[in-house]
Amino acid sequence: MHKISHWRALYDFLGSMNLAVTLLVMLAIASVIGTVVKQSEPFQNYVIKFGPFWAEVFDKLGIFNIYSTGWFVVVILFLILSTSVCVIRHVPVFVRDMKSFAEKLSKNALLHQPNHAEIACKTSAEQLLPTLQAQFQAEGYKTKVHQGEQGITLAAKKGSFNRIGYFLTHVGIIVILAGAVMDSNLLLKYRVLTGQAEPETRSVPLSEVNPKAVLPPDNLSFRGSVTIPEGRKADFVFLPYDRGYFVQMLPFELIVKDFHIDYYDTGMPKAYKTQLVLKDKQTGETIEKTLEVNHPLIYGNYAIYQSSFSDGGTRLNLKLYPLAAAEMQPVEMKTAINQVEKLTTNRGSYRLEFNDFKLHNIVPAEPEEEQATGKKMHNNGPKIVYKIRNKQGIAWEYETYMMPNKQQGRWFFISGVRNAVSEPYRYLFLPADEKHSLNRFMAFLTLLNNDQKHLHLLARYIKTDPDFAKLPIKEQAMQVQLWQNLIKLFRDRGFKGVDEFVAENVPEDKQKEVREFYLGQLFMALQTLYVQMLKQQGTIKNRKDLSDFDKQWFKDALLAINSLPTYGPQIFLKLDSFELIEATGLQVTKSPGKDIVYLGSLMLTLGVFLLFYVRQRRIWVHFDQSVSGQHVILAGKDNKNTPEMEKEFKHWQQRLQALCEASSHRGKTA
Amino acid sequence: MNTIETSFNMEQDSWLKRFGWFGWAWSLLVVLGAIATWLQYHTLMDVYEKAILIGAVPTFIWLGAFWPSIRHYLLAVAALSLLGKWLYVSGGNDIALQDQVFLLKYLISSQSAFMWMSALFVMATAAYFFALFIRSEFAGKIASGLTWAGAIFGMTGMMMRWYESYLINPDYGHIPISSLYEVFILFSVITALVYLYFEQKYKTRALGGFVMLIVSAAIAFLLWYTFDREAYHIQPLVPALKSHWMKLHVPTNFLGYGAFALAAMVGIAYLITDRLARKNPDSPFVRTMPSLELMDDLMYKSIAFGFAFFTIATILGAVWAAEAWGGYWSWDPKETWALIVWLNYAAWLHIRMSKGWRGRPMAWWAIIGLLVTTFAFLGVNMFLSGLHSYGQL
Repeated sequence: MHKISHWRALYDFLGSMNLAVTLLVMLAIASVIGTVVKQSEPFQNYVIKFGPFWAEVFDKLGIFNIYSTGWFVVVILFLILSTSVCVIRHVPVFVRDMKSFAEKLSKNALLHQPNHAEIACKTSAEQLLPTLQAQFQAEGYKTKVHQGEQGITLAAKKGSFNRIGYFLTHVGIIVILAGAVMDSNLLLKYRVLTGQAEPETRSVPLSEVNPKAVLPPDNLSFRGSVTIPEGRKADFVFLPYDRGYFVQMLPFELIVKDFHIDYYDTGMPKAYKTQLVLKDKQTGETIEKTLEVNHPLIYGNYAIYQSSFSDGGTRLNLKLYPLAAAEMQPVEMKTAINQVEKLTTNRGSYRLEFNDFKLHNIVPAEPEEEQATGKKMHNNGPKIVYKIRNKQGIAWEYETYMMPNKQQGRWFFISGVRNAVSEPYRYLFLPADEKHSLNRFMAFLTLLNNDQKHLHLLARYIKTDPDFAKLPIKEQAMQVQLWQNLIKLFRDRGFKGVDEFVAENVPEDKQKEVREFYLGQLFMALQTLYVQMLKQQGTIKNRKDLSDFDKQWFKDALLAINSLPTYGPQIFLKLDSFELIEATGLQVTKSPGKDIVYLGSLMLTLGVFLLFYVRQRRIWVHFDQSVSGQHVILAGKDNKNTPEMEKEFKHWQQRLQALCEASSHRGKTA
Repeated sequence: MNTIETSFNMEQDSWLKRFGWFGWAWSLLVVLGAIATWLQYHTLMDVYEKAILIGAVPTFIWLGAFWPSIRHYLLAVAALSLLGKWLYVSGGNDIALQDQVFLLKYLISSQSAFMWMSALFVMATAAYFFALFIRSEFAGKIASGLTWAGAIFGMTGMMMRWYESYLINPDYGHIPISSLYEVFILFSVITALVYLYFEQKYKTRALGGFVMLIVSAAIAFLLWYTFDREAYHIQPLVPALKSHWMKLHVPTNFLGYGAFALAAMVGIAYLITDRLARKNPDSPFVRTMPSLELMDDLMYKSIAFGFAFFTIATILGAVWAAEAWGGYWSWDPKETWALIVWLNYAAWLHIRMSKGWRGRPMAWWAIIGLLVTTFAFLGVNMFLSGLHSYGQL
């Protein structure tokens, strides 16, 4: 007996509104947290954001994967349980209520209904009943007549489907949740807890993945993704799990014939298309389909989606310019995205990691361009993203565009560098020459790097310049020496180098004067070298021949060289040509709960409409036989106590009154 | 006996009578319109779009029977839209015509139609309040007329924008419910229409000013968005939005949003009336306003209506997500907030139905509900990132 009451208490607790509300509030709070804290990011990102202590605490609480964390799943399971108990408790009551006409209600009970009226009617019940019954039935009511001790009651009801609405909504929710649990990774969680499965946390080739992290194709449900380059195939997907992943084997092979992106004329992507062949491993059956966003391939219990894309190892033909070299001899390199190349220079050895290639780089157009072309967007063309890492492991990340871009009417080769992913890129603008090439810049740079060559040029120039030629030889030598020192400062540290030299070596009161003098001298030396170089190249014959372009180019070149010291290891990568190889990101799901969820949704929708738009209405007509004469009580209610019921009741009241009068009238004339 | 029976059958007769010759004419027009659309465009439609077109026929016939005024409304929209289309076609289907043909430039090219809609809705708001304070039935009728006119221009503008998107570039063509700018127009029109329905049903215009206030707020946002951000440009669709599901998911959602907004504004009217009534039950304002019971019932009706459609919209969204993103539920912020909105109104309805709460607390809750809904609608796009990243401010 004692035991039973315990069970009873538990049962009542599970079916209580309080528990349901608590669970729903927990669900809502967890949902809000889940939308505010970005989910399933690499753990390192959380450490940066919250600090190591709180990141660990939040991780233990499951905040970072809140929707699959243990306590959240428990909330959902309890919600299923609670709703089920609620349904089990209420359904018998509602079924009784649906069937019942409540025809045995006492006179007193009828007079306590929300709508009630008493009518004096001279016609007998027997005369009125058939007509009334017919009227009620004509309006869709079901009726039942009951002969009680005190009189006859005609009970009518309509809209009992409202109660089915209750059943459908609640069972619908249970069905939806049950379907969702089927599609969750509960089974996998269980297998991890019992040690049957273990996620892999290392980035290793597939052959080296921990066998416990490889899941067989018969896994009940999953949702994973895989990246497949064009012309390659795969028969597995990765399932992210905590801080690692599982490899889910598939019963078929996915062969990617081609991937391409269609663009609108604005440069925005219009469609991502994968030409896919699916080959069943058992039957050997093949299906070919062009996969697109919103157009997945459904194969048995599996669905294959177009979900992302990336570079699949685009082949690159590069020229490497060592920026500190005294001779222009770029190194040719053939490599590909996702490759690592070793590079040894006289400044040390480096690793070149090629991370990404982007064919189109759409940026907002500058106002002038927008006016000229009417296009809001501008395509900067292909770029490569790569890292250069030194022996100590310090890396500089670069994004370098293949083709020169127009900036304020001039053409530049643009390359950005940064030391950490969190930083924005700092851009280097190398001015292109009149042939849109880098040659003039590299020639000028190597000339500055080549002490002997520019010494020679400067010494030769000083002899031909009428002003300097007058000076004694010793002073000429000093002048050249000054120029050369300034060029070296500039080349090593930019204009800042000159500033710092002055700050360190000149008394404070003279610094401004000396700085201006030095900068003037530096400018003269650089200009001289520039002119000499152009003369040697045969571009101009005389200093007077310098065009506006040449002058502007010189200014841009100085600005570029000024920012070279912050460009990391002094290597510039120029992309000469490439062969695009893309990779498509496919998502494969096995979701046996989907149709169950849809069934539940259908029940829910139907139920909601029945609940809101079908009112359960009851009307009683009681012919009181306990008093003399015909005293009729009319009562009515609906399950929501709506104003419509009042109106409807008045309507019936008028009818009944009319009926009473008409009947008595007829009775008199008869 | 015969006379009684005929009078008792009145209710059933009246439904058929109300359907009447106009109902038949309307139904015929809907069928003919669908056939004409089919003949002209069926080669360009996929099977789902054909299903949507066929499904639209009974929907519009039923809608016309359920709410006869909508027939006049839709006829006006159809007439103006066809006029607009004809003006474009006869000028050689060039988008530049929107600035050259008088009627297009000043009346029914999408941009001018939206401007007319904005002006009419704001005027309607003022007219409703004016009618409320001077207690003039005539001013109230004007206000209703302005609201109808605004809704006509809004819907016509959307039709024209749909057509114009194809004129700019056949590649760009899509139903204009894909960007934040477009859905704000949809929201304004739907809220106004849901309000007009209840205005007729409850035979009161006293709530018009309150409801149109939120439509005016949407218009203010829309104008800022138009002139400051130039958001009115027609942009092509991102691949994720290229789906027939959008045609169902978005309007259904906005039926929900519109009804929730209406409930909240009635809630505000309720609280004001309630406060004034407690001070002075005979004040002219209180006497002009509908009864508290009526407003309470209207709040319930509106939230129930919104909830039903919001449920459908969320389910449609899940079905679409299963097709586009590979799962019917991804706990994407927009999805999650839709769930929170849904739970909130489910609780509202539960408490009202099973615990019998009425009046003030429910009015406050309806207002808070709109704040939650607004966050789900706008806040998620502004502050959180996720798969619904289109429609960003």
